[in-house]
Amino acid sequence: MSLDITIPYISSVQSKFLINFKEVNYEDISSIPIVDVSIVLVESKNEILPLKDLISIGRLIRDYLINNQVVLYYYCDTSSDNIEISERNKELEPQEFRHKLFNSLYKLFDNKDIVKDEIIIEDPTNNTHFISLITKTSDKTNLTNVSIAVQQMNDK
Amino acid sequence: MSNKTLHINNPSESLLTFVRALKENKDRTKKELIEKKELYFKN
Repeated sequence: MSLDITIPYISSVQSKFLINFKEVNYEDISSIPIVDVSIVLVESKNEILPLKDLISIGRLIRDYLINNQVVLYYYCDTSSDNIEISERNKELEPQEFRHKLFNSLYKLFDNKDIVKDEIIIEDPTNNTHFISLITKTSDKTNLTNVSIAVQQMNDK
Repeated sequence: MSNKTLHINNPSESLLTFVRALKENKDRTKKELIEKKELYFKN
């Protein structure tokens, strides 16, 4: 069964999102598939995402993870397009805001069966890269393997 | 439960190349989804 899937979601304020799961080829890093998750605002109503929609999107991601043995990674897009940043977070870079938002999603999972690691890489010419990795607790070793692989890449 | 954060302040060129490729992939995925959005919201 393909791990690639795109789920449309219309928020309570009629903003349209696509939640996209796409397997990436990093077999040398993890013994289970690594899947990129993207949450893309494709049509905005210029309103901040209400909490109930954040919960619904979080559930979609959690359900995907529960139904598939994978490591999900969320790379935070650096673009200031297609994003509604709340007033109290205006000082944050778009990718940092997305990172914060994904952490909020994770907290909403309320699920002890899912674990998360984060990788933050300072890029002198391209802002900061924020990556979140989540998987089932039973597959936690794979998160550690990804972090080790990144560290080894940095040692080269 | 959050486990740990790996924070790299002085990344190697090798790591930067890798992570910039992630950024490009993300940009490409986003562009493709926006272009195809009508497919997913048909009534």
